[in-house]
Amino acid sequence: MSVFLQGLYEGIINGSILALIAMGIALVWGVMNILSFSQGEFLMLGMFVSYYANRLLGLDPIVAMPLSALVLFVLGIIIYKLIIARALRGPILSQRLITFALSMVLVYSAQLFFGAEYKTLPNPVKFSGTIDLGFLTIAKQKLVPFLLALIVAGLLFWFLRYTRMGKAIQATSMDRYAAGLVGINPDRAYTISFALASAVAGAAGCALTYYYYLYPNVGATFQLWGFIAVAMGGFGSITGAFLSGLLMGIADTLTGLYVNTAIKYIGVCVVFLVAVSFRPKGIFGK
Amino acid sequence: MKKLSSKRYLLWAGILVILIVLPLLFNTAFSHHIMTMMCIWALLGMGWNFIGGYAGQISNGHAIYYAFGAYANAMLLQWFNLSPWIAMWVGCLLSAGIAFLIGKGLLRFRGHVFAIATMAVAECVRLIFINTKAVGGATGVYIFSAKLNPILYMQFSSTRTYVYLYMAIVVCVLLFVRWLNKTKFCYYLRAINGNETAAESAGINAANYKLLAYMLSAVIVSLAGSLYMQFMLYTDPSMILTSNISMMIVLVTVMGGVGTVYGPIIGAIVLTYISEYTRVYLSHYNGLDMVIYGVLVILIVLFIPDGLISIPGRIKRHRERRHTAGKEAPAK
Repeated sequence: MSVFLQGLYEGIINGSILALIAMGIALVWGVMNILSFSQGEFLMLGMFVSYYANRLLGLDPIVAMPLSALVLFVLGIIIYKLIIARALRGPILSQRLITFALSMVLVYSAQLFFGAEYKTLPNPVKFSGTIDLGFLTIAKQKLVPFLLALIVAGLLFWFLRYTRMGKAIQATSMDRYAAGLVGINPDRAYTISFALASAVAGAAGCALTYYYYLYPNVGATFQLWGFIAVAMGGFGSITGAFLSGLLMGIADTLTGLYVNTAIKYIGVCVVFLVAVSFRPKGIFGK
Repeated sequence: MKKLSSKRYLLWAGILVILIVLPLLFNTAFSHHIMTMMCIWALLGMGWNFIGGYAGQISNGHAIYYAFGAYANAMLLQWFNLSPWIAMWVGCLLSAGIAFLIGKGLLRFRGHVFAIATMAVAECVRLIFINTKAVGGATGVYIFSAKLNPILYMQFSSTRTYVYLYMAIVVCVLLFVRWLNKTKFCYYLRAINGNETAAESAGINAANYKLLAYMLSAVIVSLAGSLYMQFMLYTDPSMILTSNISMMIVLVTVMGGVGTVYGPIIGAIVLTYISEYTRVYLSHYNGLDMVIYGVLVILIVLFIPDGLISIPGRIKRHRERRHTAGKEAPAK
């Protein structure tokens, strides 16, 4: 029983990172209907921001998180203005390929500037240690992604529901043309949502450095699972992406624990394919 | 009319001469390598084009069939000592069967979900290949052997032989695609791409035709995989079964011109050229070649979204517009 609980807990932690990635993908998908292949690379860049903040300034990732989110937010705006805004005029397929080529550029730029070797944080982190509950051992630093996921999900939800900009983004995602007619600047709504998505990934990357190594290609796997979480959650639904991200983390860890670590990802894919077969619009889709 | 067709013959004869002369003119192993890779990518693009271009179902997991083609050659040789000349067709059949099963399951999805589902399946297949000892696992398979008869077992010592053989195969597939392009089959697929519901109401069994297109594209991609294996004589899952390969297959087609006969070939030529030359000349800066490659891809896809094949049409339209504009100006 305690093994199961521990597995469940670890699954939720892994799922939190997936949920964070997935929320960003869902935001971009829902608002501008792009399957963004560069989301995983924003996570990777967030990890590198955290790494250099730790190496040069000795900061804990949790302190570097706002910095990372800010850097990625600005980068998101630049990328949107330079590339995505133009790509939106082309067909859907070329939009997807442009984000793919962009992810390639980001991965190999990271390799060029930061090196291809595997890295972990060089300075010791202050926020560490364990809490023993008897039936469950909680590593403190692993709580960070989970709490972050909860906070980010809450903030995103609040932003989209209750702020002017958020409402504008929602209106644009429903009908870009009509939103323009009532005085919303659709281009601005797109910019903000793309930058927000990349900022979320940046913060997630920071949280991930607590217990994961970093290398230029680290985003690829997380991104695929992010895609799957979004497809399973239902058409660009952020809540759905969040929940199915958690669910996938749990499925992944429990298959690894009880069946075989080599095939744990296959377990996730099977869960996804079965779920989508029965509910093509996603588990949480309407 | 007769004049036109004789002009056409001349054009084709010219292209044929160029194809024969090129490998002789650039007679180095490196340029032969580039030409061979161009042929393989052209086949990959032409194969993917059926499901992604004509039928409009964007599969992001075609690396599976590429791998099945390659592994069919390698494993049948290792297990049964079967010649690749036969094994590649066995690989095609196998791929068609697997495409039937996967297509049955996945082709119901549309848009992004179909793309993600194909990616998920491809990832599963990759994990299965990595964890199966019988097919070499993560270390892959190596099939070169000096004892084998080079002609019977398609392991030529001269790279030029590969170039000629693969060019011939590309031309055969091209002729097949050209013929198919004008048949009902391709028009049905285009109708499905345009509007699936409307196509169905016109009496087209969309599910069947999509499945058929998916299987056909799997067969051609599998053939490319077999040829790749015979040229490299070595493969492992990280070379052939990554999501990057699946995306590059899409990229080749989109860059050349999606849903066109010659687009994938043009895309393959340009993309292979860029990738091989950046790799050779810039590879001492770790990763710079791929950065430049990615930037070029972004620029091409951004500014020529309909593919390189649309350039002549664009220039023509631009000229016509200028021409008419020039005529109207003095009237004002």
